[in-house]
Amino acid sequence: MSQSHNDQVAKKFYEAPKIVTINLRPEEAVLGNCKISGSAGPTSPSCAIVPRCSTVGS
Amino acid sequence: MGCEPVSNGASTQGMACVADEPPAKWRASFRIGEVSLGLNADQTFARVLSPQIEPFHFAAAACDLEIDLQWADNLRESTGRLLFDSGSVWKLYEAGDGFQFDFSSPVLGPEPYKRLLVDRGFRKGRILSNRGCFPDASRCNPLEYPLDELMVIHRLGRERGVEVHAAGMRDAEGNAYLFLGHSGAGKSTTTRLWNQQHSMTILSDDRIILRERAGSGGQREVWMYGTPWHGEAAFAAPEKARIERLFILEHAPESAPENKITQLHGASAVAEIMARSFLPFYDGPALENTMSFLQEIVAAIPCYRLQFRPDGSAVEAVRRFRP
Repeated sequence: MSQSHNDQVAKKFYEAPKIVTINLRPEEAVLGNCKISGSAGPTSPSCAIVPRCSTVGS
Repeated sequence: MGCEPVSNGASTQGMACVADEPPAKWRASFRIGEVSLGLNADQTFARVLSPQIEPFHFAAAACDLEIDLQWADNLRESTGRLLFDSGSVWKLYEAGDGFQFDFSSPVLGPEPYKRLLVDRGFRKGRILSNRGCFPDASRCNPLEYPLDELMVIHRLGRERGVEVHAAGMRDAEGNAYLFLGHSGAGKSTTTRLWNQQHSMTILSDDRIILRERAGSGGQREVWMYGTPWHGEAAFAAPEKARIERLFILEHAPESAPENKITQLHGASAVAEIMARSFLPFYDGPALENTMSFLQEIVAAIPCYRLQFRPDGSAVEAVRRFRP
């Protein structure tokens, strides 16, 4: 193994592990939000269902 | 010669019967993101589907997922093993070899107003509508959100596809633009801005399905498909387009002088897409399949974070962007 190759290995860049926070929206991910009015949804007056949702998301 | 009740599943006591002639059958089929849904019922369900799904009509004698729509007089709370509680209107239970999705509302009491029974492969199932919850049967939509969307995302989990929270559009030259974002991230705003400035075909301003397709040379391509589940801007079209990049959409800080585009790599890109995906979190094999699909997307096309200003400059920033 050549000296130059050893130098390359020794100087290999090291990036320390880091924790990155990813913003999840569980109520959206499980289709827990009401769809906005005008689209299909359990708020539709046709079935007179009032869902147990507190947030309107689209 | 028998006497068939007019309504499927109802008590025959006191009901008119139709001798010799069985109840008229009704069938409708749709295709959303290359997933085909076939619905089979009697005529009581014939006019109740939401108008948003109508453009997705697709004539097929046999579909990926075949569903029978039926009435039920006695839907009781499930005693099966609870697999997942969405915290909203639906819960998932184990049901023999398959799944049972129960939909309930405190307004209507603990009994489900609707139930989906389906096999684990999401190929065949039944939707039972609780007759007691729908005094006017002709106005009950058995596919009402979120059931229609749940069926599609579960089926996608068994294929190479995923539904994402995103706006997607295509210009007259065929260039495709995809913007993933949580609620409030600016998907509908972005859709309106693009539609005002250019002649665009909007696939959806809120829900896009991503699929893998083989290109003419055998290379892996990523395509996006419109869905019926639109957002505030109410764009939904049964169109598709090949995408060559995707953007994670965020509002720029008010102090930011201009739009900013930065590339995301590897696990960071996968995580950002996953956070804006609709996944069957409780279904290990489907989740594993979908995660590997997200990895393939990131390997196939570049992923960028777009911090945008809510004006026309964002449109031009993306159109002029060259990596």
